[in-house]
Amino acid sequence: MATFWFQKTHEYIAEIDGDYRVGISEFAAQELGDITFIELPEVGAAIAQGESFGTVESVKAVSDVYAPVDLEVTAVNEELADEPEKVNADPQGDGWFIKVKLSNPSQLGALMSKADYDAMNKEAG
Amino acid sequence: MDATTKKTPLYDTHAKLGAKMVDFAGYMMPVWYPTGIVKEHLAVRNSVGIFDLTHMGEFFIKGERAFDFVQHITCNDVRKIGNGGVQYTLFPTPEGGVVDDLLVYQINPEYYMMVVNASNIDKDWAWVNKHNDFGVELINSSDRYSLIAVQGPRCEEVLAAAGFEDVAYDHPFTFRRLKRGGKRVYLCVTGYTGERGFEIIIQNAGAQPLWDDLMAAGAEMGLTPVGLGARDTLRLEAGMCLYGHELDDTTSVMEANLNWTVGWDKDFLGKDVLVRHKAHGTDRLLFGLVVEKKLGSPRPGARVFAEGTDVGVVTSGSYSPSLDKNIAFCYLRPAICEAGRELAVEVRKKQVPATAVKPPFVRHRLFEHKY
Repeated sequence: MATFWFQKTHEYIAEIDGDYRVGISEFAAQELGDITFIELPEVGAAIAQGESFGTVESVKAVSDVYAPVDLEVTAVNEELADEPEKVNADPQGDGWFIKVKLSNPSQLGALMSKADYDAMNKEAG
Repeated sequence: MDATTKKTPLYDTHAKLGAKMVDFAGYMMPVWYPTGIVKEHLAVRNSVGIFDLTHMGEFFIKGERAFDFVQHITCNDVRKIGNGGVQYTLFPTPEGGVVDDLLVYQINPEYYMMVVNASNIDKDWAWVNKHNDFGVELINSSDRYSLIAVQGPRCEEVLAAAGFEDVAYDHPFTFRRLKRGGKRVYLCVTGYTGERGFEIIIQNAGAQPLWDDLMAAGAEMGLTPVGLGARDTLRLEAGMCLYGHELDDTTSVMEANLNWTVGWDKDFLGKDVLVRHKAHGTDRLLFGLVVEKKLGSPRPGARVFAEGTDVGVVTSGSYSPSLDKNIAFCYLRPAICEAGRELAVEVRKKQVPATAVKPPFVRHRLFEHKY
């Protein structure tokens, strides 16, 4: 069972069987359109909350992605290099960006629940 | 969307199709549909796509000296076309810039239509009026006409199925005037994709029935609604300029490699500068770059380098769905414009390898009939 937290800039962090994954939300993937390129950090990189850890490029736009919490990268989704379209197909599943270790787990409490995040997008809609 | 943003007659149709709408040049336009830019793009290359381009502007020029006026204000020589002919041309400025690029349609030598860029309608309107020393009547019909384009190798099949007659005989860069449902239609064999295609200019009240007829007729051919996103990737692959990127008030027709549009045997506004550019060359020329897919796409403003020296700047850049690589238009020093030359370009603040190519990036197929 996965638990998702979101932040305003449309990244999520998900806890799945004790592992944490970071990626971009379904809403963000839809807004960006066809994704053609993803740049991800090195394994071992330490990234502070709010810092950019990579870029997502769609046909029409380039966006930075920001760490939702202080984290250390334990794995990157290597498949995205050849198949960036996986992010469009399943952003909150197979299209995850990085697996991470949390440096400061209490930061999760300040992120949005799925319900709050959906409500934010609807309001902005 | 602010209060002045205009909706085309097809706005609700796009909304129903689930299009992502953006404010483009003051019009709410579909940038892509749920199909996505890449599939929309490939539909036009491999089959056929339909576009709402109602934001484009339409001017009419009437009068005994309409021919003289068009010859004066545009750089191409309208004597190259006859009645029913269409010509790509530009409004050059005496300072060596470009007011806009456009298509001119000769109904007869006393009656022309011009189709101009949406983003330049007001500027163009002021320009043509300012230079009307010929007593012609100028009519801005931009708000009265809609434009629906059908582009791709199966375009004739769609039009024939929708009841347009004799489309197999239509030739690129010609147009016909006809009536459909009592509404005036300009059926133009033109486009901005490099593929065979039609652009149908119709009075607003006829736009919705025409779209519906084409969609119904084209269902069998896989007719796909295409947004402005894929329109841009298609024109970039085809090596066609976009005003505001490759062309603006400071770029000369010669720098943009559009010397083929210059009527050297006639006089026109802004000719002197172009004659000088022809004789002495220019400091920069429009050229192309190809970058491997995994390195990312160069974007407008990115600098281009040859052996560490800054030699130019990117004006348009995107992923190319047809090539599965990244492509870009750039202004380079003329000495650098050599196909196959290895260069470097900035992608997200890093320099990556790029290969110089002479546009178009994808071959035009206007004359390859399938119908």
